[in-house]
Amino acid sequence: MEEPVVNTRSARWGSYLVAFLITGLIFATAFYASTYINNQRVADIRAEQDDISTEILSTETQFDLLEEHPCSDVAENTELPSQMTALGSELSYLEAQGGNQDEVTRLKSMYSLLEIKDYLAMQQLAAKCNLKPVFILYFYSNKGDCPECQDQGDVLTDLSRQYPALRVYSFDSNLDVGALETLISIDKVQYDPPALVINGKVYYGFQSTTDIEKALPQLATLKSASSTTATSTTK
Amino acid sequence: MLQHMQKVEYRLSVFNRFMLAALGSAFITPGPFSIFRASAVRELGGWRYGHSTEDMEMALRMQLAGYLIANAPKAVVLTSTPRTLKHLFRQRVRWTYGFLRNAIDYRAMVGSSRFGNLGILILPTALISIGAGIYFFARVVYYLGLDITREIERVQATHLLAHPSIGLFYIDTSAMWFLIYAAVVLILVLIAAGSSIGLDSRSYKLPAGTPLFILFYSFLVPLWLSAAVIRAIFKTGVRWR
Repeated sequence: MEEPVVNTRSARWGSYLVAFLITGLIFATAFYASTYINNQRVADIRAEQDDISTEILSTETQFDLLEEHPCSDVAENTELPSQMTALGSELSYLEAQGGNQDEVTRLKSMYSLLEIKDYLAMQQLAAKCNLKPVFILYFYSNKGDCPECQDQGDVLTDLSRQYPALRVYSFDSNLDVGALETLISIDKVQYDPPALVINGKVYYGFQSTTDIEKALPQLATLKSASSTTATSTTK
Repeated sequence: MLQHMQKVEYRLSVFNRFMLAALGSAFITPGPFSIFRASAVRELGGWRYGHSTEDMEMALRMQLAGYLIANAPKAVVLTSTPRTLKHLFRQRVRWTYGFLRNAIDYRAMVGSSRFGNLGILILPTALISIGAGIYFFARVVYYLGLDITREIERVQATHLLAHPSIGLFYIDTSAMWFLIYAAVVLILVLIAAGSSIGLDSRSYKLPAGTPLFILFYSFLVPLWLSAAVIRAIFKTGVRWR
């Protein structure tokens, strides 16, 4: 048998320092790895937003072309740009995760602008070519003053799955974006989230699937293959 | 299954005892097999009541008197472990209760630099780890309860079942999770070190019950820690069997 282990208990401060440094290194590595991955996510979202921006620009260009060409030459696309669907829920997740909220807010502002641009482009296209896209504008708050917003977001996400051609545009009412403030004032939406704008009418408070189906009878006419996701998280 | 988990725990404790002896801070001599120098025990006044953990009381008294306690990690000792959850729970409540009551009796040692590593690091850490174990477990249970309540309310309001977001993007990569991964890896390394120190210096094999130990022990330990703390506060005493 080997010799037993025995030692005096006098503290060796050098050992404590080494232990402290190793612990510090483990913590620093964990924080670095987490920050690195979150930054990668932000970069991915930014790249997706660039793609969406290009798609919207394409829609706007199509609209410009209408001045010279008949509607039959323009591709009828009553669905949101494909990546916008995933982007909404990714932003929600990123926001709920915490981390660099300034960066998330910047991304959300950009996302809201893209939504508004898409909304306007589709309205113009619809008016010109007699299309009938179905819209819902959803105004929520993440400041902790809207306990029903999470439920409303779930209902809208589910509706989008049921009716993929339904275009749900969700906006954080607290974002400091000029275009969003203009949209809010045009639609006369007061700050009382959750608020939905359906067929030009504003609805306040939680609206169930049945309530929305009643307010938006055009839903019954919708059929398609892809969907959109409502952005709503609570902190 | 329970005994397989305890086998892993004992492997971990081989490392712990080795570490405590290396720091000159052994504050318990294992019940299954400890040898005491008779003259030392007589000089210290013989055995006395130690809150059903007399081996711990004696070790603390020896430390207080300045004796050295050695550990023989390669010594082979066979011991029987509790077969049922009830017996395991009772044994562990007794151990933790004994530690807490003895720590109160020998509180002058806790945090005192006069007792070197034992006073500055080991005893305070052992006490903090009990508090931390209970706190983090309570926190997990509390937030789990909140999540379940919230989910029930959500289903009642929306009549929709949860639609989890699936994909690489949604993997939780917060720093807390990296620290949990690091802690699990560290525990595995220490179990392997226990195997190497206690059995064969070239073998770092993990016992078969290791996954069970990692998965379930963290839920079991806070239960007996909590029971022991409550009993220690109210000085209820503990049963042996």
